[in-house]
Amino acid sequence: MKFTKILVPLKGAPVDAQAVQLACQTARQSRARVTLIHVIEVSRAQPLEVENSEEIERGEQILERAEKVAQDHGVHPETDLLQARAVGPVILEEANRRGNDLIIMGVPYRSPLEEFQLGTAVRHVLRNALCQVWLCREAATQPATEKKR
Amino acid sequence: MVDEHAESKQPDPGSLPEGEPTRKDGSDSAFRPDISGLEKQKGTRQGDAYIRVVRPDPHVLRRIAPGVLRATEEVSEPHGMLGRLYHGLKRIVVGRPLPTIAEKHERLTKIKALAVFSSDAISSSAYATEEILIVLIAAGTAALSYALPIAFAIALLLAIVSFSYRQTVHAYPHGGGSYTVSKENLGTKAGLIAASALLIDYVLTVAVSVAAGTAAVTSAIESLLPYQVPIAVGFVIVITLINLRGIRESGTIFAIPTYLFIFSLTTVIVLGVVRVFMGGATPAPAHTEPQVVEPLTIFLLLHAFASGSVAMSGTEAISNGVPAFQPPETKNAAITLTWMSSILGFFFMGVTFLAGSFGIVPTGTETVISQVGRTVLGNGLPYLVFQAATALILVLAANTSFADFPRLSSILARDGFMPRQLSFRGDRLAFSNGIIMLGFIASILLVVFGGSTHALIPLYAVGVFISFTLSQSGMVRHWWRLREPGWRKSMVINGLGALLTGVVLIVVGSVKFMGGAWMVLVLIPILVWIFNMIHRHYQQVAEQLDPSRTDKKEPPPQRQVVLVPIAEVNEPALRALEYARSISSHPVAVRLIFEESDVDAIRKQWIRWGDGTELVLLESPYRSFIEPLLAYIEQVRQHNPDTYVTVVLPEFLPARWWEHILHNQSALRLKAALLFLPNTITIDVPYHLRA
Repeated sequence: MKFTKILVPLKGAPVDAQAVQLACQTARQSRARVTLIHVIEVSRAQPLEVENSEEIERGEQILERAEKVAQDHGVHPETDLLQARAVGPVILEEANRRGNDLIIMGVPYRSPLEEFQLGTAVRHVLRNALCQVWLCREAATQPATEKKR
Repeated sequence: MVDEHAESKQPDPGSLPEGEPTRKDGSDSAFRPDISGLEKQKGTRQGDAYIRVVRPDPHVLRRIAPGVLRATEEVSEPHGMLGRLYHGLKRIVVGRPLPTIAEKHERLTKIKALAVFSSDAISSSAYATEEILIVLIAAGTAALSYALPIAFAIALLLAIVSFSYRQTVHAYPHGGGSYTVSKENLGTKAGLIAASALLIDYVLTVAVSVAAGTAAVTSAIESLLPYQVPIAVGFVIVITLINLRGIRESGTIFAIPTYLFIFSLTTVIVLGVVRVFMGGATPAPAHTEPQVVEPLTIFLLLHAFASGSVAMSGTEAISNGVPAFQPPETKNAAITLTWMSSILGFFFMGVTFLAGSFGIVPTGTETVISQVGRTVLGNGLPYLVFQAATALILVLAANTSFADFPRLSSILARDGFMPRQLSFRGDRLAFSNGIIMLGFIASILLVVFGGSTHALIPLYAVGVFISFTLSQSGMVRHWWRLREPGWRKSMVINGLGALLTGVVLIVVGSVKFMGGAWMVLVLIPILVWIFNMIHRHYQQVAEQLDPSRTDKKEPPPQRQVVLVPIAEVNEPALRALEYARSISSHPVAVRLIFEESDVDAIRKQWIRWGDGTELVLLESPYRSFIEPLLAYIEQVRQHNPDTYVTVVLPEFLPARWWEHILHNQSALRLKAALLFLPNTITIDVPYHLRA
């Protein structure tokens, strides 16, 4: 499979690094360009254009860490920091605007005691994205107990 | 689960114009100096709008806090092809640049410190004996028997001087170089004399050590003899590069050869002495009896003593570097100093004794220490290892100077006696400029003196003893001033040191005067004069730049006139005029004409293009361009003394570097000339041509 533009939304979890690695490997095979984005979620209680320097700084750090991972894998990604009410729609907006043909998202492993659930953003992207979407779930730290349905 | 679509139908409180950064207070399109802000992005549907956080390109700048930006490593990388090639080479040779925060004081253990600070002192045992013998041989082989007593006298002097320096170590735990001690106790002039003497000596140490190291190589491999100078210069280049990589890494590099030399020379001396006392002393290979060219006089003996005293150079290194020791710094430094002088004394006496016992005579092709080694070890592998160790320690002994010269120059630069550039740390946190300067001067010396140790030695030692004498005298003054407990004893020790080194200085200076010491004695006052000139300059600059000074020359201008010199009406000129109008309500265009008949045509043209801007025509009957403009600007300035004259220069820039050649550089020349006019500000309005 060949891709030209890969989008990797980051949420600041350890699984980000794996998603970036996967994106870089794929990008190198197809000589694709990689874009890393992080979306700051703004609650309804605040105006959308609130400037929260702590959140921006955290976002910068998430992007910087991921960029370093990419560079270690021989890829020089573009990075972007965004701010929105909901993460999912922004990912799709950006993917459309940039013409991405692949979105790779990291999914953290959740403890087996919890109900396994994909995040809102992941579900939104899976349901509505026009391009391919790959999920990269991190390895489990302990075996999951099979839940009876 | 929240219904995202239902939610997104609500309009967002507050709204931003799309694609325009805003401030927190809502004022639109304000300039944010730290390149921050928010930019609204339209979504595909109503209510899908989101915000892009404005940030500097993370490859060049990172915003680390509001109002604080940090440049990335990428920024310092050059862009042109040649620049990138140079940068790449520099990376390979010198290593990656280290950020300033990486600077840490690596504390040295006594074992490592002995290697770092003593390679200069200890290695001089490789050539000091030979220097004595070369002088004595002039009076025939019989005179060689005086070598041992002379070596003994020098070793005794060494013991006294090191004992004296132990006092300095205790009194100056932050490093008591001769410059610091002399300047603090005897005044700036004495400090500068000591500093010049030391700087000269550091250069000579590099030249002499490298020359002697090369001699060790050519002694073992005689076919290399014709290539002495290139080999020596090559060594200097290698040491310079190692030092440019930074001192921390070089500390380890220098430990191995130092200990290899200490081990192998100890073996040679012990085996040799055993052989002498077992009666197995083999006479040296037969030498032809040298001609007696000089009678054995007191002068000759003093000359031999003076030549041998090169062994003392480098004794002060430890007292300079006390802060580099692990705590307790002063105690460790004092112990290391004792180790160093004991080892040096033992080696020097040992080599001299063996040379005498084996009847070794200096020859032009093989060094004395090589002959001693060959006699004791034979011609096999142990001898080659010994020679290699000697060559290595001699070449690396120059490292002591590579640590000290840049450090002393940086201290002098910090005090304003040497150019500021010498106090800057390079990419690898080493004082790169000082290191390069030292390598360069030492290479020149090696070339000029043909890479010969004997030719360089007469210049040497004078500087050492000047700095010894000044620093010891400074210590006497120090104890006298402070009168701390036990000051009398310390003062006597330093006084004895000062007296002896002073006497030796006179002896060395006079017997070596004709041989080349005069050069050093002439150079020192010249250097001191230069240091003072530099200092005066920096002082004047500092006084004039001080914003708090009260005697300001004149109040700064309150108004400005804006002039736009134009050669012809074209795009760059119109662009410059437009800019001038944006900073002044009444800019003036100045146009040069070469013939009176042009006036009308130009005025007509100006009505069309000038957009109402006032035009002054400046006739230049002799077709010169810059001078009439300068004269005009100067006149404007003189008639408006409280006014800034802002000259807005239109300048077009070709896309390729070689295309510059096709245009005359009048704007550049004009800018250079304007720089020297007071209260005249030049603004360049560039117009970039397409390729």
